[in-house]
Amino acid sequence: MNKIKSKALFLAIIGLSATFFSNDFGVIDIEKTAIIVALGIDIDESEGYIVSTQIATPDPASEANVLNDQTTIEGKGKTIAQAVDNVGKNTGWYPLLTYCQLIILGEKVLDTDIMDILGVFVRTDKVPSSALVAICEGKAKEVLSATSPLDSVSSFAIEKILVKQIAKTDCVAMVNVKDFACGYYGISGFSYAPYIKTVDTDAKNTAGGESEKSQTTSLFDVTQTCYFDKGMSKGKLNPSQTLIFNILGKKTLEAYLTLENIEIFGQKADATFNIENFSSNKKVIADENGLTLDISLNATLALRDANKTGDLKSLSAIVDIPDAVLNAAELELKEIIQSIFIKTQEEKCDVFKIGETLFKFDYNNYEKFKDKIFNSKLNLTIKCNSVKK
Amino acid sequence: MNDFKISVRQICFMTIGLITASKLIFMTSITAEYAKEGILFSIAADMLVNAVFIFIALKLDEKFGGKTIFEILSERIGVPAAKIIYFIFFAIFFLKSYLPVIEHEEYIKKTLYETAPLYANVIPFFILSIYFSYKGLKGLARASDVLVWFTVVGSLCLIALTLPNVDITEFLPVLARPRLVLSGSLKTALWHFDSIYYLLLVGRIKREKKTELKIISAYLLSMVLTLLYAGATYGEYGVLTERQYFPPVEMGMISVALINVGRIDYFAAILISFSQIFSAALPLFFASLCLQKTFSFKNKIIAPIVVNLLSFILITATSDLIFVFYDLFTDYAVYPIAVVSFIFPIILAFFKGEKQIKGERLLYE
Repeated sequence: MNKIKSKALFLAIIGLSATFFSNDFGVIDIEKTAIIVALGIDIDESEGYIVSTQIATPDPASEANVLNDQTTIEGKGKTIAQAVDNVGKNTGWYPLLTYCQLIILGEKVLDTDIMDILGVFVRTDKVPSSALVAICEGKAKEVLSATSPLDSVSSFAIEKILVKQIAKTDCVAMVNVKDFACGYYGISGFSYAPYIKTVDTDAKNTAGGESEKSQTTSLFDVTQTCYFDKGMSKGKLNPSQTLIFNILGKKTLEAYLTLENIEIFGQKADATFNIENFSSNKKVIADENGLTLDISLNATLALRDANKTGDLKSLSAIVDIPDAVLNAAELELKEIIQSIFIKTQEEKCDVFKIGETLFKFDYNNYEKFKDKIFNSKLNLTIKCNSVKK
Repeated sequence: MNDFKISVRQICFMTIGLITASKLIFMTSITAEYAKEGILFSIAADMLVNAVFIFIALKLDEKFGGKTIFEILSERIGVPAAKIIYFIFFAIFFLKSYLPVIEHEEYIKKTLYETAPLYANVIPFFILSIYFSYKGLKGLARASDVLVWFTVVGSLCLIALTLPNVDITEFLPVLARPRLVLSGSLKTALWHFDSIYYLLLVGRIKREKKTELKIISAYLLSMVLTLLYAGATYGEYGVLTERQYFPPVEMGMISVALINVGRIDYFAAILISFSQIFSAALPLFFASLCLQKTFSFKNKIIAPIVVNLLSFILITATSDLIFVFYDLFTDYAVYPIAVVSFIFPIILAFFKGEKQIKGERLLYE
């Protein structure tokens, strides 16, 4: 009898534990749930925030060209949370944000402190901190409603560009909610986000299988980067500055540098080089002359393509790059870094995280020099090598 | 139950499985709030102090020849005084139970539930806790044998998922702000009063060769696991760590692998949750033990029911005021717990040991 009692007790505990962990008592029917895969946020002076939610549908591939429009539902509110709630109220669906992996902010947000908008995503665990953040040209809703040949769901197309491009070529300065907030609340107060420009193309649409009609589809250029000081927009990095900004910040897997009008194979040509084995070292020196940002770079270049060809040897995968070209590459890199440095020092935005580097590596001098960050000097040592040497 | 002695292996497993699990929810974020980049030094300082007192407790076990604290006190200062001290122990364990139980309740509520759960959902924890306390040391020993793997596998999986995103410069400058380290240690001391558990195990340990070395090594291993876990969280979240109250479901979130395959980190988080249930029930277990000794209830289920019912009422009443109560606990409750954890064993060390008493008896005869 005792054995039966203890077994019954054990089973009861297992059953109750299952309800404890599974939220069986409070679970919302999946059919009443809208799984939101992306959010677009625009600001309207009279209505507050306009949040466009892209909702996952069971089979987006079947009606690709109309779905982005139809599955983007808008909610308005004085706060982001209220706007998202209003989406639920208007549709009768419970807005599930657990799978939201992209937050696009319309261009108007650049006039405000971005953290006023992103704060809700840091505060709540309902949206994953890994959700990517991007600023877009025009309105966020237009980007989410666009039809892209890359993927039937526009947000998935942008995610592909943001995540896969960064993994390979460093052209895009990808950032997620966590990294943006870390930068915002960090010592330097610097954060950044990629800037999405929609590029319209004409494409044939064969939906329905019978008629063929031309429709505007969109591609997305995400090679520019907005940068912020304490959440306030300070400017944009152009594509070449974005590339260098990226490879200075992390170990690069694959990146390309194009030099124009250089002397190669005995003739003037434009050439693209693969930057391999890129290494950089950044330190901040505090002395009687003030602060100096010392950056030393070492890059190995391999010729990928040129718009002129020489003899058969010039088509080898490993081509010796002349010193003059290496010098030109060094000069190009130097000019790009200097242009970022001068621009951001003038705009008082610590893109190179001079303050944070000083705090972490030379704490004793931090208090003394923290107000002199924007009077820093730049000392660059760049060395480009040929892959064949 | 009274004669059951827990093996050294099971104590080691309890240390790694349950003691570690008690530090995996709020502790990291609260330490980060006060200690900032000195988070690891803060945790290590607290745990090393406790390691010393665990060693003292184990030496007391050796000195008093397998007698429990209650037996030692009864023989030397009388049963009524021993009962009063055990009631104080009950109060201390009850105070100590508040944070683990409420943080466990908040963790389950905020992370595993999309919408606010019914309050009835908290009841299973207390039913399990009553059962756990009712089963006594044998239950604790058996649970430890299983849960150690849950804690180790769960936390190592989360640490592994986090590693690619860890920035070790987040820990710089090293020890440049020692006051913050001290402040972090003091404010989170409540999570680290572990030696008090070992005091209650005095006389219940099945001693073997190098008992002290084995148990202290297990505690140091628990410290390493805790440091790795807290370090991975701080290295990943940096300044944001102080608002990452629920690291088991937040640590792996950024991993590129998860972005592609979905939240597989929840498997690790659930493993930790299982250990965490028993870890949160551990102070209630010892509180029940002390209450039973104090009042000698005829039915041994009464003490666990009383303790868990009191805890349920307290948790229910203060559920929405968790941070108000957290401040109250760190400002006031920390002192009585520190006195019992640190001063009581030192006083006990001055009591005559079994060998001394036997020697004196022989001399007298």
